[in-house]
This record gives sequence, structure tokens and C-alpha cells, in this order.
Amino acid sequence: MKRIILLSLLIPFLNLFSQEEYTLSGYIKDKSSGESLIGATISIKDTKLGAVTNAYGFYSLTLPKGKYTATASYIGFEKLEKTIELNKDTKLNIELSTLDILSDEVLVTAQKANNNVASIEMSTLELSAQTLTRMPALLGETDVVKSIQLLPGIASVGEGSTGFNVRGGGIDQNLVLLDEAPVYNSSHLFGFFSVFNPDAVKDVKLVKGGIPAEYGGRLSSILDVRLKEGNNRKFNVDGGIGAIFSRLAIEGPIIEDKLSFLIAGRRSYIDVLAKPFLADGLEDSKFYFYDLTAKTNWKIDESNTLFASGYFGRDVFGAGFGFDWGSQTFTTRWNHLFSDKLFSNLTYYYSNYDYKLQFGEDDQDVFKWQANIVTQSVKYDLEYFFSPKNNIDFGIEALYYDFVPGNAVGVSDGISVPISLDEQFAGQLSAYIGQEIDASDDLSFKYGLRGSYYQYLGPGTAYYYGDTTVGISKPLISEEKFDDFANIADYFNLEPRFSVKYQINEESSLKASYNRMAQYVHLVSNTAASSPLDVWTPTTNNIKPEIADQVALGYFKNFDDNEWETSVEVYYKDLKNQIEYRNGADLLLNEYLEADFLSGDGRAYGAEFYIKKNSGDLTGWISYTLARTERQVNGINNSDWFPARFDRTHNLSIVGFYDLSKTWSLSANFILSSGTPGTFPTNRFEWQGYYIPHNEEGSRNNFRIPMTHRLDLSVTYDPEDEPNQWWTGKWVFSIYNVYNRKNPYSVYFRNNENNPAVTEAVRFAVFGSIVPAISYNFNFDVDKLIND
Amino acid sequence: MTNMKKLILILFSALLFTSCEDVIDVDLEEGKPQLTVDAILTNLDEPQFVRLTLSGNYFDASSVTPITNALVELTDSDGNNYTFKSPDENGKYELDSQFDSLVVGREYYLKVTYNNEVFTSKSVVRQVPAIDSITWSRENIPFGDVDSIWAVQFWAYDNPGLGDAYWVKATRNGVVKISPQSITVAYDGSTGRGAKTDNIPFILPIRASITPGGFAGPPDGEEFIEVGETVGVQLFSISLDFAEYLTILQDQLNNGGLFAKPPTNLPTNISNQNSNGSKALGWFEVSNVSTDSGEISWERSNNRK
Repeated sequence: MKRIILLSLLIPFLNLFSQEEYTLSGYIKDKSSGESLIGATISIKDTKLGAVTNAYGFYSLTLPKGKYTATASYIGFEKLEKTIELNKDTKLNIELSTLDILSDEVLVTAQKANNNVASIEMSTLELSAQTLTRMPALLGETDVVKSIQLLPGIASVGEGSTGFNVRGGGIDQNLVLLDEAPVYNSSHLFGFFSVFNPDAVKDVKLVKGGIPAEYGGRLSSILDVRLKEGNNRKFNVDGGIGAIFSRLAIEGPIIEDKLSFLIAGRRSYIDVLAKPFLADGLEDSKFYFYDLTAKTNWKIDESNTLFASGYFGRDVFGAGFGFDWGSQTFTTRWNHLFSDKLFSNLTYYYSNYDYKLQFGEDDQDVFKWQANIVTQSVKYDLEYFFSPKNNIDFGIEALYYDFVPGNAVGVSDGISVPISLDEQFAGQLSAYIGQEIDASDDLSFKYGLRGSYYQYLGPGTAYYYGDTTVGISKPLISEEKFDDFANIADYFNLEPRFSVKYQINEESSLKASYNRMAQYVHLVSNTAASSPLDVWTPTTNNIKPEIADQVALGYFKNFDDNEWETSVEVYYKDLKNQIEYRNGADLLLNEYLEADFLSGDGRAYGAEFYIKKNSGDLTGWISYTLARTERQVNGINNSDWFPARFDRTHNLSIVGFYDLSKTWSLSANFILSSGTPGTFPTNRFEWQGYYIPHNEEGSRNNFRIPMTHRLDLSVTYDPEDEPNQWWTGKWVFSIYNVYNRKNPYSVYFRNNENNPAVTEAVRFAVFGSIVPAISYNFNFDVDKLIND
Repeated sequence: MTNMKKLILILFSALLFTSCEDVIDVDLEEGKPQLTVDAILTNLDEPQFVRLTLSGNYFDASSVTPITNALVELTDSDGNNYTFKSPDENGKYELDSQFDSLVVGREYYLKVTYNNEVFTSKSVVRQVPAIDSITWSRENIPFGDVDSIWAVQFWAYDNPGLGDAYWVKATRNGVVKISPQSITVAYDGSTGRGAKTDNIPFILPIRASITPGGFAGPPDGEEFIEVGETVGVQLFSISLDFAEYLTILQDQLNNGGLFAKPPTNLPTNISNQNSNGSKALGWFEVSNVSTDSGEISWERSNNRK
């Protein structure tokens, strides 16, 4: 192994002694819109050489001088062949035409990707914009996060929960990126929809394991969402009017083929429609979200492109009080090609997640609270394409965090009492280097090393606590004030990454991976669902960075010329420094919050099974995960391992799409998952007239609530378009929870309202009914309209 | 803060109008019965007692059995010994005499001997501020079937110095209200442990907590206050540990819905002399209480003389 690696590092130098080599490079784009295609393949006929485009659609292939036939392909597009005489460094930009997916030729010309088998990537799910539109629509709308929850290894605590759990990790362990800027709360309306507007999304990649060195900062997954650049060939208007929300997206060129833009917005009005159904007294309630996603890109010349993108969104909730939260992100990037082999990208981003609460409207008696977290970063990433079998990527990132954990003022009878927590600051510096190498025809490696250095910075106060018996807040021993940019505490972590692929034959492969991840920001929450009142906290002198080590092994096999894709993956993840809270901890506006934290270990392991049918009238997939995720914290559950709040033993999703005809199609999804654990009492005692539950063993998560299962259906009617029609539209009608199952979100215990001496177990379901929805999606081709 | 957060989160759950709750059957494990000590002693003019029971099965109210064969002893740091009458069939051990006044700073020691085990506890008496007055007015409310209600408040100043805690009980026509939604705990005049307020009038949510209904409407089975009724307050001055106990109690009795926290057991200040012996439940506190009450009428808006 070592010899192969050393030898392969010498390959670039062997150029000097072998025949002349030249580089074929360029961008692969969508012909109709000019959008670059991420992960498109270019392969050289009669060889095993090829390349895949990077996040900006760029590829680079260094080959010996000669004549070649290059084939470019991408899911949903027609393959394109080009013959080239390679006798100097050549720029070859390729444009692919969209495939008419309903045409009969689909079986002949469609590229049936065997990427899942051939690529070194494992534990990775990639969805392009095209695939997203074919996902089942919840409440009439397709959604990025809801779609990935139907794939193996992804679970959620239940309906109404923000975030998602990947391979047994908490919801804060996913690095959610929108054009490289981190998003701290990826949900609207308590998890029913994500902040990603499908009209603006080009590509979504979820990496659950074998995470490459270029990513870092969270333990369990990377959700990398890339926005469309904006059609730079023609104006396009897409929109939809639905029962829950409406959306409008406008994109087009400002200077054709050079400068384009995209603006997409959404606004929900569920509160307006729900008014007649609300209980008396709640008529003044508000419950809506809106968001705006925008992007512009400027292709300065063949070697330089500039991008700017931003997101602004808000959720508003109120009924006699006001509560709103949201994110704003802004990213600007500069792609620069140093040469045909060296691609670079410089990014600056700003991300702000804030939440505000106001209780009371009278200025004399009011309570206002706000918190936010601002992250800024400059990062520089480079990719060097030595040869089709060997590329290196490396880069550096500097991050600055500004946490405002709680800025509040309580006005009582005109007396104003500020109740604020100190602002907290931190800085992080990371550097990485990785290499992907084809050691032989069958064996490929991708490995790398990432180093992350984190500093908890002043100005601020560091608290030092003493030990105590578990269950009581730790006593404060001393406080120390620090100046601006002083180093209060620092940590350094090396994060090695490694993956290997053994190609058994054209249709099957075996893959294995290992990664170590370090996480320096943590979501503090001890409630069942993450509420917007939950606060993000930095690593401090008291809170250590979380560390995860994950190994995964997978077998990938395709059948019938890639018509069927199957895979089995097993993983084991070891987690350190997981934060738990002492029983009864009060996490809101608590200056001495860290005194209530407990630190523990975690472990998650499981097997994921996946079968997918790619073509034909009936397509879809079945995904099944068998998994366990547990925590061990001294002082909780008698210091024994206990299942985590989001542990679900079985998780099954069956998704199907059926094309009835050219205009009608059906989709259905059925999910079934084990109940999550709950802590149930064993006894009751009486005290001062109260009937109080008690768990005599002191156990945590000693029971499972009943399982969840649900069927959703949707029907799409897409009438045939006339050739010169300037607008097209389609109807989507969906039913969520078709057989009206009250899926338990939690089971809790309470005293009966009328007779407190009677205690009862209550099943709480978020969606206790069938929810039908209808939406109309339209598209205006502005050029056709003008030329009409 | 905690009360407010609770209220907000309850309202969240209510607003998700398609959500629903069903009572279901659950088979629970049965835990061992444990000694429960209910011993809150005050200077109020009413019989003072310590009640001992055994904890029972969660769903079965009748499985909580009174203990009538234990030995209960009460002494204090000034050497006084207090005697008890024989227990009644409810497990109540009544003190022979009431406390006329409770000396601030005095420590009381409780000792319960049951089943060959000895359990002890102690409590220090704290200063309680006097209630200045009770006031009432008609207020419009955003919720409920009615447009306005009688909003009643008590007025008092938090003791000077940080680290005070209070338990606020409401009385209506002389009867103390016991309701899981209305366990009101104040820290130095405000809600929430983090507050660093001091010597301020208790903040509005605390003052108004004695109004039946408050912001969200009265709990089921209760009516809004009418003219002619008497609303009163009992302000207990308590230790921070007891405040913690009550805060967790309120959390646990109202812990449901979307933002439920993991159920936790209440802490206790009753300890077995043998640390490897069985554990007891409940709380012992000796507390100074200030009281006041006012009769609601249109003619006046407060009860000041």
C-alpha cells in the first residue's frame, strides 16, 4: 500500500520521462440555461479514464497526445460525444441538452449512471434539481430536507421537529451549507419545510460518512446545497400557488452568457387559511414564513468567474405575543483558473441566525428577548488535477464567531430590568490537504488530513466551576475577565480522513471509509423538539469540542445495466464530549449555564439497505435502516448507556413514482419507523395536594412510544404544451397521512384536568389528521412571450 | 422567565391546530414504594402537621398509603423540642401547638424513624416581606370567551440582598388554590434563576399570578373572579433549594407537547442517615408567610386602610 502511494505521488514527475501529455479541460453546462452541471462525467472512449466535474462544473483531464472520443453525460441529459485531436492544451466546454424524460427514447439514450458503483464516494446522496422535482410533494410542495429523510440513515425525531438526524447524530451535528454559508436552522414552520427554495436549488449533496478533508466543523453529516447561477441564456419565470405557500422565481441574463441573476421568493399564509378552524380567542394569531434567495454571477473571462448569493428568511409566530426567527446568509466567491490543471475558489461568507421574542405589548409591562449567532469566514480552496487518476485538493479557512446568547429586557411596572448574557466570541483556523488516486484499475483511494485550531476569545468572562455530586449545579469557584481577542481557551484537532474503493466488476464494488470530525459549536436544548428558544453555544474553557470517529463499509451492486441500484452499508460511530444536562436544568437566560452541563460519550451503529429502480414507468426506491444510537453520561440513568432521544430501531421508506401517461403521474410514499424512546414513571407520590410522578430506578428513556407509519399520495397533472406556448403549468394534488393515523410524537404523563388525582398517559401527535393540499406550478418563458 | 417560557410553549402546541392528544393505555413497570415526607410548616394560623405516606403505582391513586406507625420528632437550633399528636388515618402527624412567630435564622431539624430507618432534614427560617396591598382592576384580555376580567395583583418588595426565593400561593374566598399550572416561584422578585434583580416590587407576572385565569384563561373547572369574592395571597419566603424543587415540580406536572423535557425526579432534602439505605421523597421546609386579601368591588380598587 505504502509503495503504491509513494509511486503514485511520483506520477506527475514521470511526465518528464514519458510521452508528451496535454490537458483537456473546461466546463460542462446545461444548454438551455447555461447552468454549470455538478458531478457530470466526461469519459474517454476505449479507456478507463475520465473525470467528474467539481462544484463549479469544471473538469480537467491530462492525457497523452493523441486522438480521443470524449463522452459527456449527466443524469437527465442526453449524452454528447466529441472527437478531439489532443496535441496541445485544449479547452473543451460542453453543453448538454435536457432529456425529454417522457419520450420513448429514454431507454436508449438515457445515461444510466453507475456512479454509485464507480465513484469513490460512499455514504453520499446526491440530488440534482431535476431529481428534486420528481420527489414526493408534502402538502403539495417538494422539499429538500423532507426528501432526504426518505433515504437511508436519515431520521427525525418526529413531525414538527426542525432538523434531521444522520446516523444517530443530533440535529446540530449536520453542517448545512447554502452556497458554502452555514445555516443554523434549516427549517421553516417547525420542520415542515426547509429554508431551501427548490426553484433556486441546483444540487444537493448529503455526505453521511467517509467525509472528505475539505469539509469540517460538524460530526455527523454535510448537507451541501448549491444554488442555481441564474439562466444566462433567456429569462425564465417559475412559480407556484399552493394551499400552504406560494412562490415565484425570476432568472435571466443581464448580459447574455456573461452576467445573470436569480431571485426566488416564497411566502406562506397558512395562518390566514387556518383562521376559521382556530379555537376561540386565537383569531389574532400569526404563523407564517417568508424567504428570499438571490444569486448573481459574472463570467469575467475564461479563467475568472465571480458569484454573489444571499438568503433572507423569517418565521413569524404570535398570538398576543411576538416570536420570530430567521437566517440571513451572504456569500461571495471568486473562481480562478491558474492553469488548466489548477482550479481555485476564494470565498467570503456571512451568516446570521437570530431569534426574537416579545411578550406583552404595553411598554410598561413587557418582556423582550433576542439572541443571535453571526459567523464570518474567508476560505480558499484549490484543486490540482495531476492526471485522470490523481488529484489533490487543499485549502485553508479562517472563521470568526460572534454569539449573543440572550439580550433581554424586562419592563415591570415601568421599571426596566436588563437581563442579558455576555456576548461570546471565537475564532477557528482550518487547513486541509487531500488526494484522490486510482492506484490500479480496480483500487482507488481518497484520503486526507484536516487540522482545525479553535480559540475561545475575549472580550468576555470565563467561569470556573468546581465538582459536585451529579444532579446539582456545579458551584462557581472563580470568574476571570478577558480583553478583546485574548485567548481564553484553545483546542487543536487533527482530523484524518480515508476511503478506499475496490471495483469488483463493472456493476459492483466494495467501499470502506474512516473519518474523524471535530465540532466546536453546540446546540443547547433539552426539549423533545428543538424549539427556536434553543441557543447555540461555542466551545469554551468548560465545554470541550465534540469528536466523532466513524468507520463505514459498503457493498454496491447494480443490475440490468444500471436499471437497478442496490447497496448495503454498515457503520459505527464513536462520539466524545456529547453534552447532556443535569436533571431539571433551566437553560434559558442562565448565566451559569455551563454549571448544568454534563459531558458524556455516544455510540451509533447500524446497517442501511437501499434498492432503487431508475427507469421505466414505475421508478422509486426502498430504503431500510436498522440502527441504534446511545449515550452514556455519569449521573444519568445510573451512569449506564441509554438510548438517545432520537433513537429509532427500524426506519423504512418506500417511495414510488408511476407515469400513468404523458400528462398524469402518481407518487406515493410510505414510511414506517419504530417509536422513539421516552422516560416513563414507575410510581406516584403525594405532596401538598399534588400527585407527582416518580421514576424509582432513576432511569432515562426506559420505554418506547408506539411506532409511526404513514402513507402520502400525490397526483400530478402536467398538460401537454403547445410548441409556441409561452407559459406551462402543472397541478399537484397531494394527501398527507392518507389513512389518518395519529402518529405519536411523544407520550407524556399528566394529571387529569377535572380530577387531578387521576393520572393518565397521553399520546401527543403533531399531525393528527389527513392534510390535503393542492398547488399549481407555472413557468413563463419570457422570450417566447416577447416573440409572440 | 421559566413561567413565561412554559406559557409560550404551551401556546405553541395549541396553535398547531391539527395536533391532538389522546389518552392511551400504557403498561408501566412498578417501582418500590418509598417513604414520602410532606412537611411544610409555617406561622399561619392553622394546624401544622407532617404527613407521611408511601409512594404507590403511578396510575393507582389508592396505592398511596398513609404511614401511621412512624416516629416524628422536631427540634430547633435553640434547643426547643416540639411534640406531635398521634397520627390520624391519613398519616398526618399534627403539632401540639402552632408557631406564633418564626424566628429568622433559626434552624429546625426534622427526624422521622420508620421501618428501622432514620431520616433527617433541616430548614432555616428566612425573612418575609410584608404585603403592601392587594389591588384589582378590569383588564381586557386577548383570549377567552369574555372581553375583560378582574385582574388582581398583590404588591410587595423583594427582600434586600440577592438569593431570596418565594413561593406565591393564591387564595380565593379563603381557600388555597392547588393547581399544577399555578405553582408560582419568584427569585429576588423575578421569575427565572438568572435574574439579578433586587429589592424591586415583584414583577407583573408574579403579582398577577393570584388572579384566577391570568393570560390564558382559567384552568378548566374554574370561573373568573366576580365582585364580592375575596382574593388573597400567601407569600412564603423559602430557601433556594426549595425554590428549585418547586420549579422542577411545576415543570414535571406541565411537561408535555412538542417541547417536553425528559421527565426528571424531584430532588429531596430528606436524607437517610444510612446513605446506603432506602431513599425518601418529599420536602421539609419551615417558612415565614405573609398574607393579605381583598374583596373585589367596584367602589374601591385596593384594600389599603
